Amino acid sequence: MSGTATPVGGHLSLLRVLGPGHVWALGVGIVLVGEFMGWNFAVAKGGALGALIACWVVGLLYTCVAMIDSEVTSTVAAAGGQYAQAKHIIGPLMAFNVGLYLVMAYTMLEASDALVVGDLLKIVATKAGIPDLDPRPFVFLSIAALAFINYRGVLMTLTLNLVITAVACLAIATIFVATQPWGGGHALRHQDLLTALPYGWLGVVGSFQFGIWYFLGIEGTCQAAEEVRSPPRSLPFGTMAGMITLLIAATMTWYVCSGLLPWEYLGTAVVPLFDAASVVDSEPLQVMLFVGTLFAAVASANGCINDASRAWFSMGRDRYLPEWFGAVHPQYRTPYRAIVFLVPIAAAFGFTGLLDQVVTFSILSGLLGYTVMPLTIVLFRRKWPLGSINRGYVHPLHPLPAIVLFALCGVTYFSVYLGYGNQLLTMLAFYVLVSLWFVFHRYRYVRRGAQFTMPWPRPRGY
Amino acid sequence: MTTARLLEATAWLLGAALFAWILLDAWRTSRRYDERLLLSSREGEIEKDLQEMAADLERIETDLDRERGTRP
Repeated sequence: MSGTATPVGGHLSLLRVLGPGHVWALGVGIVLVGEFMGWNFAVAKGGALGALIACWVVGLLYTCVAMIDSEVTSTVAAAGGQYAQAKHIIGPLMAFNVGLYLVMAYTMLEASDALVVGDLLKIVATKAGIPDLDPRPFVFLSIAALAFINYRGVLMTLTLNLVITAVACLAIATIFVATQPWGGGHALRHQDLLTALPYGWLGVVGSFQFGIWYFLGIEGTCQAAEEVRSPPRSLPFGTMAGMITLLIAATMTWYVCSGLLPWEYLGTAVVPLFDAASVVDSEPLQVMLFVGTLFAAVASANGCINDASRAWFSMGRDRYLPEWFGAVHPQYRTPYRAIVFLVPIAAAFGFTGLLDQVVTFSILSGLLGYTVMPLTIVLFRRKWPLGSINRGYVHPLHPLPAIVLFALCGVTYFSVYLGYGNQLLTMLAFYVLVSLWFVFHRYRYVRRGAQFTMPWPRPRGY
Repeated sequence: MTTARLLEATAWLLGAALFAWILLDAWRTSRRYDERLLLSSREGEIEKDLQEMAADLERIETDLDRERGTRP
């Protein structure tokens, strides 16, 4: 167990105890809640077929993210993931921004997940005859309990994620099988329910911002880089397996929901898969989908605490933030100060109750991070060409994934601007302000030489 | 007290107790251990160790080959 390990040679480090299954559970666990709720708002924008197009186009965006991430992370195996990548490949200011994108994206997603847990418990309480339950204590309890588990060790945290994510995946597979699509799907009514694009192709583009819910957070696998036993093998394998799982789960979810619920209802439903189970009229299936939704939200919050704390810890370790945050717990080997510090921030966002606003800020931070990735991989290949350093994985067709990713990020920004233009501009203004703070104040504390830790040769051209 | 208020109070208490435990342990740990030890984690440390191990292994193999006379 992770708690029994002792430091070797007077140095503390995070424990390398994770395998590819844990990496899969971290990535899929963070994302899968988006299959149970949220993706369906894309239906309100672009209709059911528009949501399917969004699912696959945004799936292509995330496949590019996974390919690029796998190559760079299998080489830059450090906690902080994309932050450490940007630090080594682009430079300190970009690294600082990417680190903040990660922390904001995961902390806000964690708050949203806790909000979902609170709302689900309120629904159950209402059905059980307790109508006026306040969800806020349960939001706080979810965050505190998951922070407690994260504090006590990464192996326990991600083993829990493995189990509950598998149950949530099983719930999606179960409802798919229950509708018997191979036998004509007696309950499924695609021929009646599928309509042409209700708002044309602009509606389809508008649906991209919610299509992100299908996959948001899969890049979080990189944050485990310093804790997996074999980063060059486990990270690409776990990330790719996670992406394949999500593509299948997203398509199955769309197929079942669009065949059972009219698009006008589906586009506004809070828990669409649970509602689909209600249409099938099977009580065990409803229970299974409720448990799946709850577990997916808990797994997502759990993974988000893990990832946000690693990014915050890495920035502290390099003095991009106060060094105090770069401490490792001597017994549990976790970044304990980073975990504790982020609890009240997540709780504060959770107490607002503004699920759509909090998630939008999370999506925007994630999107900003994806936009940096094409630059990262192009510079990575240019400065350290193939053969100059050992790579655990080399993604094919370079630079095509980088070009596709950049173009799709541009389309998604436009989509977000259509729905949440003010939030997008507010977020950009926030990052400009903190960048100024970093350049004019914080950068003087950074250990400029010591922050570059990879045993690589001098980059080409330097 | 209604069932709803009872459930809410239980959730607040449990959440507060867990967070208090974390805070207390973090405070104790920071007092018990030297700050330099707590901050001693270094990025890339293991990669460097693995590289040094690989270099040592290669050196040992070279020495063994020389002893066997299979390498000049």
